[in-house]
Amino acid sequence: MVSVTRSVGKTKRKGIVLAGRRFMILTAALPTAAFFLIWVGIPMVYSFVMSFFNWSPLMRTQIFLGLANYQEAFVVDPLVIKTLVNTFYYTVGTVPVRLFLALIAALMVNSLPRFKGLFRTGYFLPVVTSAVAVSVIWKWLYQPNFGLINSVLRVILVDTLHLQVDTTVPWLLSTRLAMPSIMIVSIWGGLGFTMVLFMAGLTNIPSVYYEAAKIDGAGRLALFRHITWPLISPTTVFVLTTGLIGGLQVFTQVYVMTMGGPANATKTLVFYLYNQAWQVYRFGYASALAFILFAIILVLALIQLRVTRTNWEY
Amino acid sequence: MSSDVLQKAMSRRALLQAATTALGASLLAACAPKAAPTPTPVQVQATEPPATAAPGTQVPQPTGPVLGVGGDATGAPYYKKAAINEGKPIKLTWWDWWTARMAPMRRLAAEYMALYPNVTIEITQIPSDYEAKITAAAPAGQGPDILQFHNGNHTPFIKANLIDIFPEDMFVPGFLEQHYIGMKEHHFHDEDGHLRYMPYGCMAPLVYVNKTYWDEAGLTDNDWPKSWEELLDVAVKLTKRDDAGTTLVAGFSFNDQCGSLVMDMNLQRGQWTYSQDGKSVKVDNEISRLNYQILQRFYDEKVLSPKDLGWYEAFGTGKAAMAPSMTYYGRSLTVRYPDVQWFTIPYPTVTGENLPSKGGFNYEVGLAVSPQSTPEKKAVAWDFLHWFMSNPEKLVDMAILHNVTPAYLKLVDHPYIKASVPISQLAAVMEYHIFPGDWPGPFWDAVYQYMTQGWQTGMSVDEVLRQTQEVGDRTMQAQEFRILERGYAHADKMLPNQP
Repeated sequence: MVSVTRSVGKTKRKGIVLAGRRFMILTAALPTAAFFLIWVGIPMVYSFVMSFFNWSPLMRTQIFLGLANYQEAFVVDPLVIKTLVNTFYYTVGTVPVRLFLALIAALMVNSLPRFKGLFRTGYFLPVVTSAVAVSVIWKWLYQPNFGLINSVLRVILVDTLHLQVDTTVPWLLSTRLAMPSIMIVSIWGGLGFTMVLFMAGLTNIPSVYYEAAKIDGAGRLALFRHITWPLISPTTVFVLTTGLIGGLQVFTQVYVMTMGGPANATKTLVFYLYNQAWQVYRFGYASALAFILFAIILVLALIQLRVTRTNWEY
Repeated sequence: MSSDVLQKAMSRRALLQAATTALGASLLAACAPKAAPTPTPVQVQATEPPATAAPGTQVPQPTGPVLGVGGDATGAPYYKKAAINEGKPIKLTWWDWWTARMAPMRRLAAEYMALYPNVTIEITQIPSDYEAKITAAAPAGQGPDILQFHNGNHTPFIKANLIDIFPEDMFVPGFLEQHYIGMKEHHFHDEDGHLRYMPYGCMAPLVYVNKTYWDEAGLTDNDWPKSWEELLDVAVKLTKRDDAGTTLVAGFSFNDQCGSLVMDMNLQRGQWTYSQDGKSVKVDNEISRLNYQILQRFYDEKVLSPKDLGWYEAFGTGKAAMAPSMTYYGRSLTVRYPDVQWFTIPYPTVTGENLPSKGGFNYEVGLAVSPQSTPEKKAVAWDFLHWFMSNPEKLVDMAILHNVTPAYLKLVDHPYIKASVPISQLAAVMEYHIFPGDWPGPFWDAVYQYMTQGWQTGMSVDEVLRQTQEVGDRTMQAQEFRILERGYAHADKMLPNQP
């Protein structure tokens, strides 16, 4: 009888503890959930619904168009395909290169016996700098006649090596060079963040694996190939996925550095939908473009996760 | 762990991954571009310093005592009232975007507040995304009481009722139609014929000339070119090269403007920009090709600044002797390149004659009142606008500040206006310039992207015209635009039978 009473008492206490935990969890999660709902959830749903309307913020009545906005984007508007191609070009040119360089930088910094923090901070500085400020500065660096990059080229190629070459490279004014120039800025700007992620991933790998492999005679390349690379794959997947999502949404650099030019060579989908919304107030059409991009990102991210999925355990 | 359980666990993981991806993608896809900097409210002070001299003019600034009382520039003289808003305190908000306009406008508001001390006018500068902020704030009742308005937003702002109807007892329609440019043609009116805004003036291009180079080349007033061909001859004389043949000073620079030059030349040849029904543009045709041939000759004669150096910097830094520009450039030169000695000459035409046309023009901004304001605030706002705009001296100030010909035609003969060479040159030929109406943004963006940048970076003329035509037609078909070019005063001189 005593043991039954104790058991009931224990159960009650457990129940109280559980209820308290649930309350705490609820209290902690509610503000975030409310914030998400108000600032992201509701606007997203509203935007999706309005993508089927001739929505202009200046008009009191909105006309239902059905799928016309989506049809226009896919069938009628020649710039949508162009901007999509530009967007993919930017993403494909940016994400893998940044990943590769960041991994090398992380490996190098991680192998340093001292000053790791200093180098990490150095690489991270562009990340904490405003993207607008970075873009403005790079725009001046790229200036064909007075920019630092061409000046350095002139000093090296013409003044030092005495080569007869034109060093007024039109970085942002050439349809061929403009997008790669923007990519370089993005790679440089995001390198530190990716590097820090990789460094965190590297730190989590138990040193016992390396020690065991070394005893078995593994060289540096083998260590990287058989231990480092597989065990940082969660970080790699994360970097690839977030990089893909961020790359497909590129806006700031384009807006500040080229405004989509020259000849629409750097016009990306997000920049284009921004123009549609704020240049001609076609919010409905811009929303449709945003959801097309959303669908593309979702599908690609899922495919990427499926392809790069690994069951790691250590 | 059984295979069933494993399968279940994997499904949950997959589900979790998918959900996380979807959530992340949702969050990021929903992210709007970064907001513009927070507006900085500026409290108007009654003791503003006097404005600096306007560029391109050698005239004293009209900074005398209050002149608003008794003005008649709106057809209804303004008289000072014993009290406004029954003497009770009232505060108006006013939004503007242009830094150079802030000080003169603050001074203007201060003058009015001196007349009526119970009125406070707070001017807020919104340097970027001005229209976006107005369109978001006004319908929510959080917009300004008074706003600086650009006619690029004519149709959407009127349709959304974001700018109020001008009261006819203060702004007399008959008087305005008789004395103001564009009033008879209802360029600033809604579909019901109500006036919604009044620009300070109008602006068209001139050619800016470096006086030092001009004098060094031994050129005189008799050498002013009237046609593009003559301008090319002058550009050859102004071009300076070193012994190796490298261009030191280009005779002319139109970099970043090729597209708009070709569109102006099309008008000069008598071809409209839009079809009569406003559903297509007139770009991909032989007239445009002819005009590109003229531009190409400037390259062939090697009188242009390098393609990678924009006309704005080229002229300002002394690397080009001539450049075409709207007259706002005079202020930019004074502020950014004060060492350049310059003057202006009229914009050339294909034939050297003013007819069929000199090209396009646009109106300057003007003040408007928000219909969303309270009746009390609107009453004070309209009283302020009436006080300001009925005063011819203040309209002269505005014309000089913006380097435009005054919309109030009588002021063209004002001594200060006549003393400004660029404004006088514009005023003499304004009747030959064409007002196109609405500004279909994507089309003009294509003119810049393809007809300017594309051509400058090596795209063929056929390709740039085809691409521009495609975007232009799509733009015109996607939306309704108010196209007014065929109301041009000399429309009968344009090419006949244009659909």
